[in-house]
Amino acid sequence: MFGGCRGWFSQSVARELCDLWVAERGVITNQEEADYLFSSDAAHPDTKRIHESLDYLEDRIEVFHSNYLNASTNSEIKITVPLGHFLLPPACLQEEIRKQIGSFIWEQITEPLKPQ
Amino acid sequence: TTYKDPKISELRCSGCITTGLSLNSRNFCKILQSCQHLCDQHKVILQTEMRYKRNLKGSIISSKDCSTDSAGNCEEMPKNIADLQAKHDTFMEKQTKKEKCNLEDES
Ligand SMILES: [Zn+2]
Repeated sequence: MFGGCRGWFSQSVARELCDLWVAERGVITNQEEADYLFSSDAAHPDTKRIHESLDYLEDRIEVFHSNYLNASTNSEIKITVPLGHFLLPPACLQEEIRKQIGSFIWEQITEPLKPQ
Repeated sequence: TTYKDPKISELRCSGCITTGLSLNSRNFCKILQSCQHLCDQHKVILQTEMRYKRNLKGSIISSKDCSTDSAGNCEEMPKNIADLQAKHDTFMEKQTKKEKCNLEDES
Protein backbone atom coordinates (compact mmCIF):
# COMPACT_ATOMS: atom_id res chain seq x y z
CA MET A 1 0.00 0.00 0.00
CA PHE A 2 3.03 2.34 0.20
CA GLY A 3 4.16 1.35 -3.30
CA GLY A 4 7.13 3.47 -4.33
CA CYS A 5 6.86 5.90 -1.40
CA ARG A 6 10.16 7.09 -0.03
CA GLY A 7 10.33 7.14 3.75
CA TRP A 8 12.89 8.15 6.34
CA PHE A 9 12.79 6.62 9.82
CA SER A 10 14.13 8.09 13.03
CA GLN A 11 16.29 5.79 15.12
CA SER A 12 13.49 5.93 17.66
CA VAL A 13 11.20 3.88 15.41
CA ALA A 14 10.93 0.16 16.17
CA ARG A 15 12.59 -2.10 13.63
CA GLU A 16 9.27 -3.91 13.08
CA LEU A 17 7.67 -0.75 11.76
CA CYS A 18 10.47 -0.13 9.27
CA ASP A 19 10.04 -3.73 8.11
CA LEU A 20 6.31 -3.12 7.76
CA TRP A 21 6.98 -0.14 5.49
CA VAL A 22 9.20 -2.26 3.28
CA ALA A 23 6.75 -5.17 3.34
CA GLU A 24 4.08 -2.80 2.03
CA ARG A 25 6.42 -1.82 -0.82
CA GLY A 26 7.70 1.43 0.71
CA VAL A 27 11.32 2.42 0.14
CA ILE A 28 13.62 3.54 2.97
CA THR A 29 15.86 6.44 2.04
CA ASN A 30 17.73 9.39 3.52
CA GLN A 31 16.14 12.53 4.92
CA GLU A 32 16.73 14.66 1.83
CA GLU A 33 15.03 12.28 -0.56
CA ALA A 34 12.20 11.13 1.66
CA ASP A 35 8.61 12.29 1.18
CA TYR A 36 7.54 10.70 4.47
CA LEU A 37 9.40 11.29 7.73
CA PHE A 38 8.49 9.02 10.62
CA SER A 39 9.53 9.14 14.25
CA SER A 40 8.15 7.69 17.46
CA ASP A 41 9.87 10.22 19.70
CA ALA A 42 10.09 13.93 19.00
CA ALA A 43 12.71 14.24 21.75
CA HIS A 44 15.12 11.92 19.92
CA PRO A 45 18.11 13.97 18.66
CA ASP A 46 17.54 13.03 15.00
CA THR A 47 13.92 14.19 15.17
CA LYS A 48 14.75 17.24 17.23
CA ARG A 49 17.21 18.24 14.54
CA ILE A 50 14.41 18.19 11.94
CA HIS A 51 12.20 20.33 14.15
CA GLU A 52 15.01 22.88 14.35
CA SER A 53 15.86 22.77 10.65
CA LEU A 54 15.22 25.57 8.23
CA ASP A 55 12.97 23.31 6.17
CA TYR A 56 10.71 22.86 9.18
CA LEU A 57 10.80 26.53 10.15
CA GLU A 58 9.79 27.47 6.61
CA ASP A 59 6.91 24.96 6.44
CA ARG A 60 8.61 22.60 4.00
CA ILE A 61 8.69 19.52 6.21
CA GLU A 62 6.61 17.77 8.86
CA VAL A 63 7.26 14.64 10.89
CA PHE A 64 4.61 11.98 11.42
CA HIS A 65 4.29 9.49 14.24
CA SER A 66 5.25 5.98 13.21
CA ASN A 67 2.10 4.58 14.82
CA TYR A 68 0.51 5.52 11.51
CA LEU A 69 2.05 2.36 10.13
CA ASN A 70 0.41 0.16 12.80
CA ALA A 71 -2.92 1.86 12.27
CA SER A 72 -2.97 1.94 8.50
CA THR A 73 -1.89 -1.63 7.99
CA ASN A 74 -4.48 -2.88 10.45
CA SER A 75 -6.89 -4.58 8.07
CA GLU A 76 -10.14 -3.27 9.58
CA ILE A 77 -9.37 0.39 9.11
CA LYS A 78 -6.83 0.20 6.34
CA ILE A 79 -8.19 2.78 3.91
CA THR A 80 -9.71 5.13 6.44
CA VAL A 81 -6.70 6.21 8.48
CA PRO A 82 -5.74 9.81 7.72
CA LEU A 83 -2.02 10.51 7.92
CA GLY A 84 -2.92 13.98 9.21
CA HIS A 85 -3.90 12.51 12.57
CA PHE A 86 -0.34 11.40 13.13
CA LEU A 87 1.36 14.75 12.91
CA LEU A 88 4.23 14.79 15.41
CA PRO A 89 4.94 18.30 16.75
CA PRO A 90 8.24 19.24 18.44
CA ALA A 91 8.64 17.68 21.89
CA CYS A 92 8.71 21.05 23.61
CA LEU A 93 5.21 21.89 22.29
CA GLN A 94 3.43 18.65 23.08
CA GLU A 95 2.54 19.45 26.67
CA GLU A 96 1.07 22.80 25.66
CA ILE A 97 -1.00 21.20 22.86
CA ARG A 98 -2.16 18.38 25.11
CA LYS A 99 -3.55 20.91 27.57
CA GLN A 100 -5.85 22.17 24.84
CA ILE A 101 -6.85 19.07 22.90
CA GLY A 102 -6.34 16.22 25.33
CA SER A 103 -4.26 13.35 24.04
CA PHE A 104 -2.88 13.04 20.53
CA ILE A 105 -4.50 10.43 18.32
CA TRP A 106 -1.20 8.62 17.99
CA GLU A 107 -1.20 8.23 21.77
CA GLN A 108 -4.52 6.42 21.58
CA ILE A 109 -2.91 3.57 19.71
CA THR A 110 -1.58 1.75 22.70
CA GLU A 111 -1.33 -1.73 21.29
CA PRO A 112 2.27 -2.33 20.26
CA LEU A 113 2.99 -4.29 17.14
CA LYS A 114 3.25 -7.93 18.11
CA PRO A 115 6.57 -9.52 17.25
CA GLN A 116 6.23 -12.19 14.59
CA THR B 1 -7.31 -1.59 18.15
CA THR B 2 -7.94 1.49 20.26
CA TYR B 3 -8.02 3.85 17.28
CA LYS B 4 -10.88 6.34 17.56
CA ASP B 5 -12.43 8.45 14.85
CA PRO B 6 -12.88 12.13 15.59
CA LYS B 7 -16.38 13.56 15.84
CA ILE B 8 -18.28 13.69 12.55
CA SER B 9 -18.63 17.46 12.84
CA GLU B 10 -14.87 17.79 12.67
CA LEU B 11 -14.39 15.69 9.59
CA ARG B 12 -14.31 18.63 7.23
CA CYS B 13 -10.69 19.52 7.94
CA SER B 14 -8.38 18.49 5.13
CA GLY B 15 -5.92 17.19 7.72
CA CYS B 16 -8.64 14.78 8.86
CA ILE B 17 -10.40 13.70 5.68
CA THR B 18 -7.41 13.15 3.45
CA THR B 19 -6.55 9.48 3.45
CA GLY B 20 -4.28 7.50 1.22
CA LEU B 21 -1.05 8.92 -0.06
CA SER B 22 -1.92 12.39 -1.31
CA LEU B 23 -0.51 13.86 1.91
CA ASN B 24 3.12 13.63 2.83
CA SER B 25 5.76 15.30 5.00
CA ARG B 26 6.50 17.81 2.26
CA ASN B 27 3.03 19.16 1.48
CA PHE B 28 1.16 18.68 4.75
CA CYS B 29 1.90 22.05 6.29
CA LYS B 30 0.88 23.94 3.14
CA ILE B 31 -2.34 21.90 2.81
CA LEU B 32 -3.32 22.62 6.42
CA GLN B 33 -2.54 26.29 6.03
CA SER B 34 -4.82 26.58 3.02
CA CYS B 35 -7.69 24.68 4.64
CA GLN B 36 -10.75 26.83 5.37
CA HIS B 37 -12.29 24.50 7.96
CA LEU B 38 -9.59 23.38 10.32
CA CYS B 39 -10.81 21.15 13.12
CA ASP B 40 -9.97 22.18 16.69
CA GLN B 41 -7.15 19.71 16.98
CA HIS B 42 -5.37 20.74 13.80
CA LYS B 43 -6.01 24.40 14.50
CA VAL B 44 -4.34 24.17 17.92
CA ILE B 45 -1.37 22.19 16.59
CA LEU B 46 -0.86 24.47 13.62
CA GLN B 47 -1.05 27.65 15.69
CA THR B 48 1.31 26.29 18.33
CA GLU B 49 3.78 25.20 15.68
CA MET B 50 3.61 28.56 13.92
CA ARG B 51 4.33 30.41 17.15
CA TYR B 52 7.29 28.12 17.84
CA LYS B 53 8.65 28.63 14.32
CA ARG B 54 8.32 32.38 14.58
CA ASN B 55 10.16 32.45 17.91
CA LEU B 56 12.95 30.19 16.73
CA LYS B 57 13.39 32.14 13.51
CA GLY B 58 13.48 35.33 15.57
CA SER B 59 16.31 33.98 17.74
CA ILE B 60 18.23 32.85 14.66
CA ILE B 61 17.98 36.25 13.02
CA SER B 62 18.83 38.23 16.13
CA SER B 63 21.79 35.96 16.93
CA LYS B 64 23.62 37.38 13.93
CA ASP B 65 26.94 39.07 14.45
CA CYS B 66 26.26 42.82 14.12
CA SER B 67 29.68 43.82 12.83
CA THR B 68 29.03 42.26 9.41
CA ASP B 69 25.84 44.20 8.91
CA SER B 70 26.54 47.53 7.21
CA ALA B 71 23.19 48.92 8.30
CA GLY B 72 23.96 47.96 11.87
CA ASN B 73 20.54 46.43 12.21
CA CYS B 74 20.45 42.96 13.76
CA GLU B 75 16.71 42.50 13.52
CA GLU B 76 16.56 42.84 9.75
CA MET B 77 15.30 39.85 7.80
CA PRO B 78 18.08 38.10 5.88
CA LYS B 79 18.05 39.03 2.21
CA ASN B 80 18.23 35.56 0.79
CA ILE B 81 17.90 31.93 1.68
CA ALA B 82 21.66 31.29 1.65
CA ASP B 83 22.10 34.06 4.19
CA LEU B 84 19.41 32.61 6.43
CA GLN B 85 20.87 29.13 6.02
CA ALA B 86 24.31 30.37 7.10
CA LYS B 87 22.82 32.02 10.15
CA HIS B 88 20.83 28.94 10.93
CA ASP B 89 23.97 26.80 10.80
CA THR B 90 25.81 29.12 13.18
CA PHE B 91 22.82 29.18 15.48
CA MET B 92 22.57 25.39 15.59
CA GLU B 93 26.27 25.10 16.30
CA LYS B 94 25.88 27.41 19.27
CA GLN B 95 22.85 25.49 20.49
CA THR B 96 24.76 22.22 20.38
CA LYS B 97 27.63 23.74 22.32
CA LYS B 98 25.21 25.13 24.88
CA GLU B 99 23.57 21.74 25.33
CA LYS B 100 26.96 20.13 25.84
CA CYS B 101 27.83 22.66 28.54
CA ASN B 102 24.53 22.02 30.28
CA LEU B 103 25.18 18.30 30.32
CA GLU B 104 28.61 18.84 31.82
CA ASP B 105 27.18 21.10 34.50
CA GLU B 106 24.67 18.48 35.52
CA SER B 107 27.17 15.69 35.94
ZN1 LIG C 1 -8.34 18.11 11.32
